[in-house]
Amino acid sequence: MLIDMGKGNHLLAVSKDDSSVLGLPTCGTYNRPDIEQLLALAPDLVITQPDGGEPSPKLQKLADAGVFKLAVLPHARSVADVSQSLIDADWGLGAVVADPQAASAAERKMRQQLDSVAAVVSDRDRPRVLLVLNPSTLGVIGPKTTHDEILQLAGGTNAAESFGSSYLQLSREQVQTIARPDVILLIQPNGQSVTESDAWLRSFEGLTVPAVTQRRFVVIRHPQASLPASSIPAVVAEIAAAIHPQDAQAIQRAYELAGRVEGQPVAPAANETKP
Amino acid sequence: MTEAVARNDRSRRRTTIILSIIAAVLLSVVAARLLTSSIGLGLPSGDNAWFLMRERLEHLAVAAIVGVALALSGVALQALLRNPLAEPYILGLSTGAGLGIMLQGYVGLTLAIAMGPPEWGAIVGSSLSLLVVYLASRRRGIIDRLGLLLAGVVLSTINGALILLLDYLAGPGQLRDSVSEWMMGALAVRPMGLTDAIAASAASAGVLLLYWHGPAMDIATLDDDEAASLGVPVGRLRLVLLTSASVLAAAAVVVAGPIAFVGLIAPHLARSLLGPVHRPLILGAAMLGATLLIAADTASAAIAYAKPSFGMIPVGIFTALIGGPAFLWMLRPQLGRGME
Repeated sequence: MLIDMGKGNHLLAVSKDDSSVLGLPTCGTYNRPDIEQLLALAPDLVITQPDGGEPSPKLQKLADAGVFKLAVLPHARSVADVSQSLIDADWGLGAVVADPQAASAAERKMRQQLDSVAAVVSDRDRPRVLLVLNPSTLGVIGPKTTHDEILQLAGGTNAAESFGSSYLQLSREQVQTIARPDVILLIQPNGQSVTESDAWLRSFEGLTVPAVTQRRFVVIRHPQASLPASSIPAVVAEIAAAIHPQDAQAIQRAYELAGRVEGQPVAPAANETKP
Repeated sequence: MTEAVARNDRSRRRTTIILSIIAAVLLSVVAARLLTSSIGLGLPSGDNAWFLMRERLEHLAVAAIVGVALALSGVALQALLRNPLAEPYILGLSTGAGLGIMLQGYVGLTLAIAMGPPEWGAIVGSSLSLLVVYLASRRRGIIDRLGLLLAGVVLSTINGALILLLDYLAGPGQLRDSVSEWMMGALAVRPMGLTDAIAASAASAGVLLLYWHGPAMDIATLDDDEAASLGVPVGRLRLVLLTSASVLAAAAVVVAGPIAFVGLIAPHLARSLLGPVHRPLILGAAMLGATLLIAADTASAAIAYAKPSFGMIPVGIFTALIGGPAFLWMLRPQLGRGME
C-alpha cells in the first residue's frame, strides 16, 4: 500500500508475507518479526498488520521505549478494509505517514481500477468458478472471504457458495453434482501456467462439469494472489481475464488506464467488449 | 490326546467364527460406505449414477488398501520388536516415508532432474527410520520397550521438522500443495492410478508374505536362541519383517499421507479377539484395518452431507482421535512399570 502511495523509496524492509515486494530484505513476519534484523535497520517507523490485531509484545516494548514509532493496522479482509487501512483519519496509512492526500489518491486509484474492470464484465454471464487453494485435497475457498469478493468483482460466482464455509475440502462427488464449476482457478502465487501434464489436473479427471469438459483451468499467479491488499485490483483483473477470456484485452487496458488517469471509470472500446 | 485334538478343533472353530464375524463387520461397513456419500444417502441414481458409484468404489478401495497396509505394518513391527505398542506412525516410519518423499522432491527440484516415483523415497525413508529407532533403543542386544516408543516419538518429531524445513526451503506449494493438510492424512481425491496399484500390490504381497511366515512369527515370540533351536531362521525372519513393515508403511503414506494409530488399533483388536497366533491375527488385523479406514471415510462423507460447511474432514483426524486415547490406555501398564 505504501508503494501505491508513492512511498516505496522510504521502505527499508518488508515482512516475509510481502517478500515479493521490490526485492527488499525481509525481517520476519507480521506475527513474528525478526527483532535483531529490524533493529539493525534502525527504522523510524514500523508498520505491522498482525493476524490477531495485537502486535508482537517485543515490538510493542521497543515502541514504548521510543526506539521507533509503531503503527498497527487491522488485517484487511475486504476491499472496504483495504480502503479504510489507507484513508482512516486516526489509524490509516495516510495518517501514519502524515500524508493523507497520497493515501486518498492511492485509495481512489484502487477504486477506479476496480470499477473499470467491473464495468467491462458487468453485462456478461457470471460463470460458476471454483477457487482452488489445494488441488490434491480439493481444498477450496468459500463465501464471505476476500477471494470471494474479488471473484464477484471479476464477474464470477463462487461455485462453493452453497457450502457456506470460508475454506473446506470437497469430494469429487460434491464438485460434480453441487459445485458444477464452469471455470476452475488455482490460486498459486508465482505458479506456472497450466500444462496438460500438471499433476493437479488429476484431481478433476473423469468429472463431466463444464470446466473439465471445456478444459477451463487457469492458474492465478499474481505474487500476492493469496494475500491481496492494495493489489486487489491487479488480482481482480487477472481473475476477470481468466473467467472472461474474450474480454481479456479490454480488461487489461481498463485496468492500466484506470491506474494512470483519475476521473471516471475508463470505458473499454466497443469492439473489444462485445463479442 | 483326544482331548487335545478336541481342544484344537474347538479353538479352530472359534477362530473361524470370529474371523467370519470380522468379515461380516467389514462387509457392513463397505455397504454403509456405498450408501453414504457427501452428497446424499442411498445408492446413486440419475445421469451421474455411474460416476458417483465409481467414486465410492474408488474411495472404498483406497481406504481398504491403506487400512490393510497400516495394520499389517503394525503386525510386522510388533512381531519384529516384540512390543504390542509398536506402530508405524508412533515409531516414525510414516513420517520417515513422508520425509523420504519430500527429500526426493526437493533434490529433484533443486537439481532440476527427474527423481523417479515417490515410492522409492518413501521406502528408503521408512526403512531408515525403522533402522534408526531399532538401533537407538537397543542396549546389549535387548530392545527396551519404553525406550523404543520414546525413540520413535523423538524421531517422528525430527522427521516432521525436516519435512517442514524442506517445505520452507523449497517455497510454498513447490513440493506439496499444503504440507499441513498432507500431514493430517487424507484419502486422495484423484482417480485411482499407478500409485494405488503399487500400494495394492504391496498390501496383497504383505498379507501373503506375513501369512506364510505366521508360524515362524509365533515361535519368534520366544527369545532368539530358543527360536533358532526350534529351526526358525531368526535373521531372515527379522529381515522379512523389517522389509514388510517399511514397505507397507511407505505404501500407505504414498497414497494417503501419514495416518496415525491404525497400525496399533487393528492388530490390538485382532489380538484381543483372536489371540496371539499369527496366521489368524494377520487376517483379522488386515480386515480390521480396512474396516477402520472405511468407517472413518464413511464418517467423513456423512458429516460432509449432514453439515456441508465442514467439507470432507481428513480421515487421519478420525483415526488420531480414536487411536490417541486407545494408545494412552494401552500404555498405562508400561508407565506403571517404569514408576516401580
